[in-house]
Order: sequence, then C-alpha cells, then structure tokens
Amino acid sequence: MSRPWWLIPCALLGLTCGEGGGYGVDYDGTWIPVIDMHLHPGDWDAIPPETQTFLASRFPFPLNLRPDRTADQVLSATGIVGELDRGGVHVGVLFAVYAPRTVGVATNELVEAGVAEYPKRLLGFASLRVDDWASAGEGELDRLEEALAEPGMVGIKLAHAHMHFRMDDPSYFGIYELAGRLGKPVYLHTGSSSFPGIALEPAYTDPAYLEPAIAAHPQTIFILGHLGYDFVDHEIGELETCIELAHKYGNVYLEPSALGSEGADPSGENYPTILRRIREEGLVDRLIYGSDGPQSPGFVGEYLERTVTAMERAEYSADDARALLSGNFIKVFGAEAGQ
Amino acid sequence: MSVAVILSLGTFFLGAPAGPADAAASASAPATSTPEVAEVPDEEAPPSPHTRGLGVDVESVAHQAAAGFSGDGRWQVGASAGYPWWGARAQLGVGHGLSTAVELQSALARRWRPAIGLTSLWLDRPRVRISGELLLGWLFQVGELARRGPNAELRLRLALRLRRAAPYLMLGSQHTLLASRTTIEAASGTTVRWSARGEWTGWATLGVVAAVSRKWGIDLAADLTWVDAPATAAIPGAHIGLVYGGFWR
Repeated sequence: MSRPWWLIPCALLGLTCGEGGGYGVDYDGTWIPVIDMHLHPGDWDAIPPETQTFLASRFPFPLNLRPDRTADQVLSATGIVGELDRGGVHVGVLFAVYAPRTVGVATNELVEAGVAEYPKRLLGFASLRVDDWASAGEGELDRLEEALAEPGMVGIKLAHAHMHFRMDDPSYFGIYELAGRLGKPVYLHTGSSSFPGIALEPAYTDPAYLEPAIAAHPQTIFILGHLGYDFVDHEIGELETCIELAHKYGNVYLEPSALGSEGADPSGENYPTILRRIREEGLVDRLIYGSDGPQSPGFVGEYLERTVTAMERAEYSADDARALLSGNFIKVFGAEAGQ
Repeated sequence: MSVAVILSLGTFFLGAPAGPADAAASASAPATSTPEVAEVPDEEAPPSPHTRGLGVDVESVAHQAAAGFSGDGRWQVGASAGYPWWGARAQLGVGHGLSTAVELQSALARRWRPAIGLTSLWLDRPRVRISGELLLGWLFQVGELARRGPNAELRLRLALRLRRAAPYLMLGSQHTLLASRTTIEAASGTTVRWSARGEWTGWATLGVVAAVSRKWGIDLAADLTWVDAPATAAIPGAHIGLVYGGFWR
C-alpha cells in the first residue's frame, strides 16, 4: 500500500504523522496529536481593499499578482483542511470575524458550512457585529446564540482592536454573560496588529483592560490570543500582564498564535522566550495551541514546526508539549471536540 | 527519457557525427562542401561579419537571440510564454557592435514593462559572446499591489555557440522608481504626502535557444527572478519562446 502523499511534507518538516491515519508531531520520542485552535476561513471579496493589499504583500511573487486566486485556494474549508493535512494537524478551529473596517468579514454561516463539510476535522467559533451596538446589540446576541447552537460551534471570537470596541466597556459584557451561560469559551485578540485600520490604543490591545470582564464573569473562559504580543514592533509586549491575569484568574487561558511566525519574530528569539516564561510561571496547563493560519500556503505546517523548535528551546517536556498542542484544548472544550 | 532520445538530443545540440540521414545528405553534396552547408541551405543571405571563423556563412537567429544582439543588417522578433513571465522582443542590428531592441515584458498579465534598449557586444569569440544591454521603460502593475513608474534595466548576457544550439545565461538588475502617496485623514483636514521609493528586481535566466533553421529558433529557459527584493519572496518560473529573423539590408 502506498504511503499517503501528506507523509512527505510531514517528514520534510521533521514531523511525524501518526500511525493509522492520525496526525501529529514526534516530540522527544513521543507522538502528540495536534489541534490548531486559530484558523481564518474567508472570502477575498469580503476583505477591505487596504487589507487585501496588506495580505497580497505577504504572498510571494507571482502569487501576489493574483492574491484573490491564492487566497481562495487556502481560505476555503477544503483549502484549510489541505493545509492541516500538509502540516500534520488533525483538528482545526475556524473563526468567524466581523471587522468590516479592518480585516473584513467571515460570517458565522461561512464557518458553519465549513464545519458541516468536514465535521471530523473542523470546529467553529462564532462572532458578531458590534459596530451598531446601541441599537443592534440585542439582535446580535440572539444571532450569536443561534450560531452557537449549530453543531461544532464551540466558542466565540472577539478582537477589540479589529472591531473597534474597548475591552473594558461594560456595554459589551453581555457577550461574556452569554458565553458563560452556554459554556462557550471566548477567544480575544490581545496586543497590537499590523493590519490597516486597527485601533492601537491600550484600551483595545492591552489585556489589562480585560480584567473587569474576566473578574465579573468567572464562569466564562477567556482565551487571551497572541499573549499581548506587539506585532508592530515585533516585541513581546504585554506578556507579563497575560501571565498575571492567568495567575489571578482560573478562567484565563493563553494562546500563542502568529507571534512566532517569521514575520512577527524575525530573530526567532521571542517565541522561545515567551514559552519559557510560561513554563517558568507554571502556566503550561493554560496554554492552547493556535497558528492564526492559513495566511499563505504552507503556513500552518511551518508554524507548527516553529512551535516545536520553540518548545525544544524552552525545554518543554513531552507532557508540556502535549498539553500545549492538544491536551489543554481537549480539557477546555471537551474530549469530543478533540476527536 | 530513453537513452535513444538523449543521444538524439545530444546530436541535435552538439553536432555529433552524422547519422544515416546526414550521410545521405553528405553523399549528395559536393565533396568540398562543409557539413553545415550541406545540412542547412543558404537562404540567399549575405554573410555576416559576426560569423567569420565559425565555419558557417550565416549565423542562425538562435545564436543572435541568445546573445540578445543582432549583427549589422539583421533583425529578429521573438515571443515567449511561461509562468509567470510572458514577453515579446524585436531587435535590429545597426552596426558598430550595437543593436537596438524593443521589448514588452509581462507577468500574469498584471505586471507590464514596455522598454526600448541598446545592446553592445563586448566579447565576440567563435564560441562565446558576452553582451551588455541597457533598457529604459515604464513599469505598471495593476491589482492589489498596483504600482507604476519609470524603469531601467541593465543586463549582462553570456551566450555559447554550439552547432545548433545556444545556451545562455542572462543576469539582470531592474530598477523602478515608484511614488508613494500617504493620505492622512485628521479632524483638521486631509493631508496628502508624496514620497519616492525604489523597487529592485534581480533577474537570472538560464536557457538555451535551439536553431530550428537559420531563421527560426526555439527558446527554453528557467527564470529566477526576485521581484521587489528583498521585501518579497519569489517563486522561480520558466518560459518557452519562438524567435524569427532575417536581414533588413
């Protein structure tokens, strides 16, 4: 019987796909399954022109001449599953996004359709519009609840900097109340961003501004995406605030996506430093893996490879690696989500 | 690829000893004829001063295409298609070791660069040619990464002259001057600021032009380009082209 084609890129990446058709990495002699909790499906036409330009500039020539074609290949559910296969990742989580002025819109319906198409490979996070909250907020919460009732929709995605609402604005706390009531964790983008049109003031990026919401909703799990990383200056940013919040509140989890990419961490030093700090602080059991892919072809696998390297440099044990790459996700979202 | 095919290709490009067909042609030719004259009939063309010493009367268009240079009184046109680069070029030998060129270059029909050029033949040996070329043009790119501006390119070509093939290496350094407009929308009003920046593209093409006849040639090459280096990574490409030429005086 011939070997599956995806074993080849896995082997090239130093990754070992599991036996019996599984996926994962070989870390220190231990096979570990991988769940990538941060992936963006999309529709090129729903992305604002400035962001299209930004994304196109990240593609290699000549793919950057027709970024719409490239994007459609990797941003569809089929394209993302292909990227998961290439990277040795078993399960991926698709994020809905409603940020029409910055990164664009990926609707709940788009995510639901992707999850329905690949129910064994994809899960979904729903989101909502907040740009007309005073008059449309109630309706948006109802729509969010409906979306979360769909099969495979396991959490809520928010990005204050992209969506232009303050982290400490109690007007929006109803989102966290809903999340707690439904038992759906909330993922929050923290730190700055290099996308055009982002709100870069601390109230939109600094996770310290989330503390009132975290404290007021102990039943809600808050996942601090990107660990407050400074994507503009490629610096570690507000990591210590994230660590402090995780120590202080048992409902805080940490997610290290994108910050270890070649573009965000050109020296390759920040990612292992961050993982080492988290290990030293005894917070590895709060760390959930995500890549922020697919971005460009091959990124999902490349980020996993960089994560493995960073874990080795941060002296993670095999148990630590398992906790980061899939164990903590299964703990938070339930065993069924990790199957 | 079979051994027979490899051998036949080697014979085509390198001019190995004549096979049965060549032997028949040679048998019908006068005893004093060279194999080249027997194989490729002179198309009533005058000899070119640039082919002296090669044992042929008229140099094929393929050899001139590989060098990017047309001898005095000669012209040629060519077109190529590939991924991502497409192109068309016409060149005209004007004597004094110079030829002129008009060129259109495109990548995926989104990036275009029409240009005019002047080529100087720096080294002209029976088996080796080195030429330098200056092209002046205008770059315009449409789509998400739209840009436009004046463009200049320096090229260096090394071309070998085998019997019916001309392997070549072309190195290019392409520079474009781009204007950037920054619009700042503030409460006090909108400010527009202009600034200039350069785009550099490094270029290497490694290929071979095969002479189908004296007037026709087929170009096969790999294109290694680094567009907008070092900001952007690039994927290598390849092209196939056709060249055709003759004499204008």
